[in-house]
Parts: sequence; C-alpha cells; structure tokens
Amino acid sequence: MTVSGILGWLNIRYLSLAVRLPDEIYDGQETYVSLQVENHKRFVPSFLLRVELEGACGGFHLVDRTGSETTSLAVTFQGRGRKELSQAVVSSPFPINFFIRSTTLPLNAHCVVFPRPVPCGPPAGPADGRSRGVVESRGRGYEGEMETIAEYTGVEPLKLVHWRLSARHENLKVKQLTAMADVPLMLDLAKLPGRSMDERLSCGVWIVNRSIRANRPVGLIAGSKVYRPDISRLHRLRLLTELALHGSR
Amino acid sequence: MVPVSTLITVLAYAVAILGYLPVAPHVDLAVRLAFPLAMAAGIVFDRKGKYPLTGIPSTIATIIPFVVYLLQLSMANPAAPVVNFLVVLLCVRIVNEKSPRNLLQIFALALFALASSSLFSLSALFLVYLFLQLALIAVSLVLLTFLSVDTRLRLTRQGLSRVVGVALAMPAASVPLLLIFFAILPRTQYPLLNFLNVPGERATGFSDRVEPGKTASVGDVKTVAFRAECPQLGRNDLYWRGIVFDALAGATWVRSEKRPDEVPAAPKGNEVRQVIYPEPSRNAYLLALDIPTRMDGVRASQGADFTFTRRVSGSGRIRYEANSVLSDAIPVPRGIDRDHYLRLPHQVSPRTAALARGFTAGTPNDDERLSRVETWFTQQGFRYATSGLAVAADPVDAFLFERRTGHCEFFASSFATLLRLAGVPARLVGGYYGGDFNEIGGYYVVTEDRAHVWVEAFIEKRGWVRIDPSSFAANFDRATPSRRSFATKLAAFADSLTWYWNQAVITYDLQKQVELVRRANRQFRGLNLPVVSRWLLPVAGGAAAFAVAVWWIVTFGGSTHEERLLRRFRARIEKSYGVPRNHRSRGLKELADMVNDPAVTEFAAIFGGAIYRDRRLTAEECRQLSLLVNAIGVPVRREDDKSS
Repeated sequence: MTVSGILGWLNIRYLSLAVRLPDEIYDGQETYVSLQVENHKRFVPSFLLRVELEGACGGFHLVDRTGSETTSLAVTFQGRGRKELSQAVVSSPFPINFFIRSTTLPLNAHCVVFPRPVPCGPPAGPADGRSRGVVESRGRGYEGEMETIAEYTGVEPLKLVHWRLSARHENLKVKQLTAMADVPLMLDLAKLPGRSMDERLSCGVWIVNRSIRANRPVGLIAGSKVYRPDISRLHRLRLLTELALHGSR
Repeated sequence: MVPVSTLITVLAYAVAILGYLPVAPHVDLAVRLAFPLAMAAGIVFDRKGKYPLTGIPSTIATIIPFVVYLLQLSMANPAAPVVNFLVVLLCVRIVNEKSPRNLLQIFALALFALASSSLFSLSALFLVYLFLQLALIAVSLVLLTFLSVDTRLRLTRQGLSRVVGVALAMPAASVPLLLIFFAILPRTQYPLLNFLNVPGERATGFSDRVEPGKTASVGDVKTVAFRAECPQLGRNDLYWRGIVFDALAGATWVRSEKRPDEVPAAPKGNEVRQVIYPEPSRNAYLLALDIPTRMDGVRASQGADFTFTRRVSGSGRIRYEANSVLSDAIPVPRGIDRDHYLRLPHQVSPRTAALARGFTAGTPNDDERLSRVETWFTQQGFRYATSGLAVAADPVDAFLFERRTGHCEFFASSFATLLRLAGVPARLVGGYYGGDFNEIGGYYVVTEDRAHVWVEAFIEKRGWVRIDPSSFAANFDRATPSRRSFATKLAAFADSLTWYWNQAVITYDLQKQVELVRRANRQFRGLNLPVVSRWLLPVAGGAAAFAVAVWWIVTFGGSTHEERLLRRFRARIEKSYGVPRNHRSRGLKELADMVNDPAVTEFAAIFGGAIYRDRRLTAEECRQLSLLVNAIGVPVRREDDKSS
C-alpha cells in the first residue's frame, strides 16, 4: 500500500503543461486546444494522466521519462474578453485505482475570447447584389474585367482557359480577371441591432466574419476608435479583438 | 499491440493456478478435478465471448457446496471445508466473465487459497508461490487500472514493458518493508493456529514403547525427525537420547509411572552444545546427544535418568538449546534400586533362562557378567534386518534361538532381558542413532528411520553404562559413507533451504524478537570507538544540526512575521483551492474574490488593512490571522446547524 502510494505520488510529480490556443476563440463555442504534457522524471514514466482544463478533459496513457505527449482538448470558453489559463488539474488513478491523486500545475497562457457570433440580419448599407462591382478590388477574382493573359499553372479553373489563344500558342493560356468588390462597410457599434451591448457585439462579430468572408471590406467605429475598412485576416482579428474587449478596459 | 483485456485474463488464470496448486493436495478429489475443468471451460467461454453459466447456474454451483461444506465444519475439522469452498468459489469465478469486479474476486480468492495452504503445511515453497502470486497480482492490478480508463486499450510492446517494469517495482520495493515488518510486528508466544498443524501419529520411528515381535517388517520412513546444529562429531558419539524404558509389561518395554529415585552425579566428558529443531510432533520427549545435562529455550522437566519432557504440550515448531556430555556412562554414586531394574518378564522361556544361568557361573561381578553377555552376543552372528522379523509372544526367545535376525528392538530387549536374568540391572534407552551432517548449514539431519534403541547396564562404580547390542550384529557397519553423490549433495542443499526457512521464519516468535532487541542493545552499549573516531559522533551530530539550522535560515530566516503568515496563507490556499502559491502577481483581494471563502476574505481585509497602510500587525491580529489561515477550506457551519 505504501509503495503504491509512493508510485501514485511520483506519477503526477515533475510534470509540466503547455497549451497552444487557436487565433479565434468564440464565447460558448467549442474550440480545440492543443495540450502538451512533459515528463521531467529521469527514470520513471508517467501513466494514465487526466488533465482537466476549463471543464474539458484530456487523457494520456503513457508519457515516457524525459518525454512529452500532445493531445487536443475541446474547450468551451464562457464569456468574452481576456482569459488567463493559470492552472490545470492533473489527476491519475495509477497504479491500482484505489485512490485518484491529483495536483495543480501552473499554465501561463492568455487568450482573447471573442463574443459569440449571433446572426442579426443584413448589415447596414448597400449589401445586395446590385452594389457589387461598384468598387474594383486590387486582388484577383473570377468575375471582374479581363486584365492579362498568363500561362496555365494547373490550378486555375478550366473556365478561365482561353481556348483560342491556347490553340494558337500550342500551350494552355488562361485569362486573369479582376475581383469584384463590395462597397466597404463601416460598422458603428452604437448603431448595431441588439438590446444590450453584448447582443450588439455578437451581431458585430457575425457581420465582420460574414462580410470579410464575402470579400467585403469592413471597418469599425467603437466609441472614439475608428478602424478603416479592410478585408485582411489580420484586420479581421483586430476588429474581433476590439469587439471582445469593448468596455472592459 | 497487445489488448490489455486479454493480458489481464491470462494473468488471472496464472494467479488462480498459483492459488490452486499449493492447496490441491489437501482438497477433496471432486474439487481437485473441478478446478482444471473450470479452467478449460473458462478459456473456451473467453474465446467465444459467451458465458452460459452466469447467473442461476453459478449461484446453484455456489450454494450447494456451501451447504455441504458448512455441514462438515467443526472444531476438529475447521480448515478443510473452508479451503474446499474457497477453491469452489474460485472455479465459479473462472468460468464467468472476466469483468474488473470478477477479476478482483479471482485475485482475492487465489490469495486466500494460497494463504489457507499454510494451514496444512508451512514449507519454504509457500514463499515462492507467494512472491510469484504477488508479482502477478501487482501487474494485473495496474493493468486493470488501465482497463478501467479505456476498455479497448491496446498497449505496444514497449509501453507494456514500461507498465510491467513499474508494476513490478511495487512487490520488489515491498520486500525490504516486508523484512522490517516481519522482524518488528508483534507475535504471540505460541502459534495461534497450532491446533490445525497437528501431524498424524507416526507409524514407525520414535515411540514411547518398545514392542518387538509385533510386526514382520518395519518400513523405512525417511521423513525428518529433527535437525541439530552442532559441530561435526564421530559416528560413535551420535546417540540421541530421548526416553528410558525401565519396566516390562509382558514382552513390551515401557516407561513406568513410578520410577525409583536415584541421584546421578554429573557425567564426565567433552561438552557439546546443540541447537535442536524438531519437526512438529506430539512427542513430549526432547532429544539431545547422549548424555544431555541441560536444556534451554523450552519449558522442560528433567528426569533422574537424563530424559527431558516438555511441560507445555504443543505440536508447533519449537527450537531449544541442549548441553550434552559425550560419555557412555552415567555415574550414580549412591547406587540404584536394583530390584526395580532386575524385574523380569512374566514369560521367560526355559532355554533363555538356561542361557542366562551360564553367564552367572562362578558368581562373577556385574562387570564380568556384562562382558560375558557381550562376548556371547558377538559370537552368535546375529543379523540386523528390518524385514523377515519374528512375530511371537516371546520375541526374545524367537530372536535368540530361531530367527537370529531382527532390528534394534530385538537386539536391545534380548540383551537387556539376558542381563536382568544374569542379575545385572538393565534398562533400554530410546532415541536416534547417527545423522547426516549438512555441511552447508552445519547441522545434522536425523530422519525417522534412524530411530534406535540401546541398553544401559548398571555397573558398580561406573554407573549406567551404554551398550549398543545392535553393534554386535554381523552385518553392522559403523563406517561413514565416504562418497557423496551429486544427488546427495543436492538433497543436502534443499534440506538446508528448508532448515533456514524453519529457523528464520517458522520459529520466529516473541522470544526471538526480544532476543533481537537485546542483542542490538548490547552491541550499541558495547560500541567501542577508537580514539580518533571518538569525536566522530559529536562532530557528525553537530554537522547535521548545523545543516538543519542553515536550511531553516535559508527557508524562513530573515522573514518577518507577516511574511511567514502570508506564506502559510498562500500554501493553505494552494492546498484547499489549487491556486498555485508562486502566483505572486495575484493580489489578496483578487484571491479572495476567486475562491469565495469567508476566511480568505477576512484575512485579506485584516492583512491588507495593516500592510497597505504601512504598519506592522499587532499581536492580536497575528493570532486572529493564524486562526483564519487554519479555517481556510473548512466548510462554514450554518446558523441553523449551530442551533441544532
């Protein structure tokens, strides 16, 4: 009994945890978090570890001595804003399942949880099909004017192949078209639909994501802060972070 | 990849076999056969994944044997029914599904079965079974834990070897603890389960009566009678004295209830100290080399004829120390009751009487008569044998004049009868003769077939003189066998293992524990350090104290009372709520909000109230904070609880 107690105690000692969080975490939505456990023991492996993090559980059957293992946890974060993952509980029934020993390991991870996206109708301003083409995008697309002719690289859709030119040159030529862009959308937090600030933020997140996915630049007016419209990924994350932290600073 | 469930099933069968094997010779034939059948059925069911005997058939198979064995249970027979039923339960569990619960039951039942085998025999083999079983159970329990986490888990060979390695560390690390606990756990003076260990009466060997002429042959029983730790001696010194027969009842020599008082003097000769380890028996006579003068380690009473009997009857293993004087005569300066030792059997044949009369012709002294009988015996060419013996009402006559063949009882009783007829006081001494010296253990093994009877004749001025009439046999060989075969050496080695087991484990009792403590005490007192190292102990002690002081200062030194309180507070919070204590960035107020414990909130208020206003804590505050630290994590009782 004593020996099994010592083995159980040793099993969850000299471990360290590290988490890797995804860029986008939304309030109340399941997110996969990568969790790595490292065993610093020089002679003994660790067995049957169960790691509990923010209500989610992950298991490791064997972490070899001076080795590490990684698993994914489906974590659901509650509430928008800055989150600090300061600790995780590691437990194990090893060696003989009579007792479950547990310990708390520190974690040094931070993240920003974005508000939960809630569909809230079309964004304000012209967003229907008629407005498309009003602005010419700098990027390439499939529906704008023909800009240049280029060599076929094997990835272009067949409908872009310029058959007549290809026949003349004996190798495939493709048309390169400009992309069609929408009218930039400026979101004003104060004017978004919703009864409370949280509802307006959720709506804002939905519009930002939907618009940028549809290639429509989005900007944001949040109090005194103004973000110019853009469609880049970095810009989208900046807007979502602003929405997540709104009012908390 | 190995499925853990299959592995555990195989281990469970192995554990069950290790539980069954040691008890198999002691259970009923039906139960003995049921186990292998249950094993076979269990394996078939496991392969098919169907268990048709689960439920009612299993219950019936348990209840009927339970009733049968319950009826057999009695104070006289307490062990056998229980052990039989244990094996039946094991069989029932084996044929059923190997669920974690059933597996645990199999392990427990197998362990009980092995433990119960010790009720029948306590051989060293028990230890082998025990260690094997414990190792397998340890591995199985660990694998069972894996199975409880994931029922379809499969381990790689490497993973499995890691698991088995760590699992085996449990029994391996238990061994030193086992030894410590074995030495210090309290013991009773007498084994509690002694009554279960009573061996059957022996048909041959040492006996409390000498009755030649009863059977035509005597079987050689090679079971060990006792072992005696002593220096190697000459073969002629190896007479192990047990009992003295002074009276005749018909043709049977017995030990009379009322023996004449005689005052023997101390025998003269070389003293030999022996430690005797008799095998358990109902025999109350304690054996030692002829002539034993003193016995220690057992409560015994000494007779005037140098026989020692146990005062407390018991059949457990004992050990005792005996002091003997190697001599062939017991001086009795004040003489003996000659009439008592000259009493004759009711029936003496005329030719025996006539033969005896020949020894007394010319009224010689006792010494001369003895030598005449010896000479006659030597000339007759009697043969020593254990079969083809005379079966007669007058075995003396039959041996001397007809068969002329017999074992030691014939030789001794005939010789003693002739001596008594010739007017020389004589008695028989029963015990053992010879023994195989085990050079590994440094002891003699004396087996039952070495049981022997010889004669003591009383000669004036010399006392009781030992004569071994069997040595006058034509085929008597006193030579020690010089050649020792490999098999003999192997047997000696196996015997020495059994001996060490008995010596170290079976006979380890309260007395030995006390002796161990005393010896340790003596050695500690007698510890004589040389002059140089006389300072070693104080210096080492001082260094240790210094090390502790340095550790104390490094850890707690220089810290104020407030810092110590805060350290205790953070440690307590870590223990109760899992908030790491090294998380310095978190303030007291933040901590209090996080854990929602009134004690923490109050602590934060009092502590913060003083520290953040840049003043020291008062003694009263310190006391209050200390109490609050202890209250952290303790559930607060509600008012209504208090009132009730």
